[in-house]
Amino acid sequence: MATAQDSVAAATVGSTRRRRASFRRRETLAFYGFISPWLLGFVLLSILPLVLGFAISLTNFNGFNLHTSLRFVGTANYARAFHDQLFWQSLQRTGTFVLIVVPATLAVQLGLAMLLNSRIKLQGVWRTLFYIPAVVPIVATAYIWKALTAQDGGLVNRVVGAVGGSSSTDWLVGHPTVTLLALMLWGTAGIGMLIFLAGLQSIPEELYEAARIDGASRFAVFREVTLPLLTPVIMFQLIWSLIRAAQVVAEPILLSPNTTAGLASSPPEPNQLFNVQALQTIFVYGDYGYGAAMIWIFVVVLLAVTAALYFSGRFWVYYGSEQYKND
Amino acid sequence: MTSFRRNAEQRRKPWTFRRIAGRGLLYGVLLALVVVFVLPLGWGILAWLRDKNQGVVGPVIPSPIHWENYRFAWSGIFPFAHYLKNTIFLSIVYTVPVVLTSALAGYGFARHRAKGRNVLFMFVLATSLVPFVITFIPQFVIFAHVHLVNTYWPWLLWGLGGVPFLIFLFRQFYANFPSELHDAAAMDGCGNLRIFLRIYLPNSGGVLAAGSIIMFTWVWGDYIFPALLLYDQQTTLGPKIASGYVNPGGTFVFVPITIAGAMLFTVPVLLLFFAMQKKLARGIVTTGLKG
Repeated sequence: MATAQDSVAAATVGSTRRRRASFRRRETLAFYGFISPWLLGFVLLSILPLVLGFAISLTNFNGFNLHTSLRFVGTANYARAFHDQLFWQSLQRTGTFVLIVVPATLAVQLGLAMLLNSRIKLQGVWRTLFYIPAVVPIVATAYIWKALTAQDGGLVNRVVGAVGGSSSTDWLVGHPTVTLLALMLWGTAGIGMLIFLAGLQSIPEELYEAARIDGASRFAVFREVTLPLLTPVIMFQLIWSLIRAAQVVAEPILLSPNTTAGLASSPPEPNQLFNVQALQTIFVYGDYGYGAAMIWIFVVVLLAVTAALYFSGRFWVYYGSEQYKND
Repeated sequence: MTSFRRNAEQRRKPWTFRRIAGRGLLYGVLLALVVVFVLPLGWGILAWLRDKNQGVVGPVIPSPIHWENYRFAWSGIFPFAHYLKNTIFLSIVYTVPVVLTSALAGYGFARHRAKGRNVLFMFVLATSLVPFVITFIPQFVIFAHVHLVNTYWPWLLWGLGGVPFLIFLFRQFYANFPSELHDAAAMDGCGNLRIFLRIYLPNSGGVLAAGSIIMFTWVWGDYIFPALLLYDQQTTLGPKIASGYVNPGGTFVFVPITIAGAMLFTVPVLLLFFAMQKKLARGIVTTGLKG
């Protein structure tokens, strides 16, 4: 009797265990099935190129010498970068550019989102209008900003002239980075605004009401409620804008006074940002090995900055207390 | 401030002078900002309508108005329609697979458990941090080696690989999807793929629309990849407009013509955006980036 019962129990346990194992196997199979296109793309279009790119940076590859004079040059390309003044200059330019663009774009985006979030009528219409620039193709954006900042008859010079300033400033050549900055602020505002708006709308209304009952001033509410609860979104936006701004390449090229040469168009010196120089080193001058080394140094610097930014979050990002999470 | 009665239910506040002034200021600022954001586009349109020999010089509203500049931009220098066709084709070749693959991957990450899931999702996010140039150089070398340069195959391959931002968006969306339907279908013996195709995909219209618009707008307006990979007859409007409005001598033709071409290039995505903007905002604000 006992043995029969035991064997039945054992069989049940075994079958549930087997069923659970087969469920898990099917889950695993389903998971990898669904992500397989991405996974394949990840291996072939990200991992493999990363390895190959590093390999290229250790050679004298120039696009044509794959079967002829291709040589392993060790760290020569990296050593060359360290002694290349142009390399350091463009790296520094990009650093300065990022330091200005990132806070400026975030301030504009957050400002717009807060305006839209302040119980206004026709919120959807305003939102749409602010988003329009984000839809305009970059080539058209560049032409529009050239028309705005044109030395003769550009809108900016007309306005500056009308209020008593000089109406003949050559913005494109004389102040190319100002133009580039304005273009970036204008073109990227929409998406960031939507993301901040989503963040603002997920702040529980009770917190504002509690603050109001306590008689907090508007600025105090912003500092004590809105800002802390928005810090995760700010972190996300900081990292995203940093990576985007550091890689800017089409914008400065297209803002060159003459773009008939396409990718080989050369922007005025202040706008020769790092990626412009790296891209042209490779695809215009065919210096693949050196260009790849430049980019690898850049990527390491960028990832280090991103990581530092991310880990700084423990000092200023509010990850939520259980109390509000469960509400 | 504190002396007023202000309880939580009190939504309708009396119209005090202070409140009217505050509202007035708010709408004033909004209006000024809208002008700043829309005016550049308006200036572009005005530039298109100017006398083609005069650049952007002349009265603010050009007179007479030169509508016909668009005709010159359409067929005077290069056959605009041909590159428009290329652009439409390329945009579809990229958008359709990228949305589908990302939806599949996002669904997998949201709805199926397996060893390695979290690590792989970290990889999804990490790829969005890697600058495109670093992976593009070797890709370019490979594409050149297998004769895919100056074809649209790279876009199809990139599309099939999915995009981190969309995978993230779909994962958020499917993670919040009610599971009753799923369980019912599983009981009826639906396979996993069938469940996805029959239940999840038909119910994700909003996020599919948002993802498609974002990707379509991006690839439509892209300059750098077509400039690097396509040339001659194969290229798209982005690079063509950037450097194609030239005389036989190699100098640029008149600014109003170039701007007219750039505006013709902008109009389709603007119309698409106006038609779909509600879905776009809903897809991002309400589903995508919360939680």
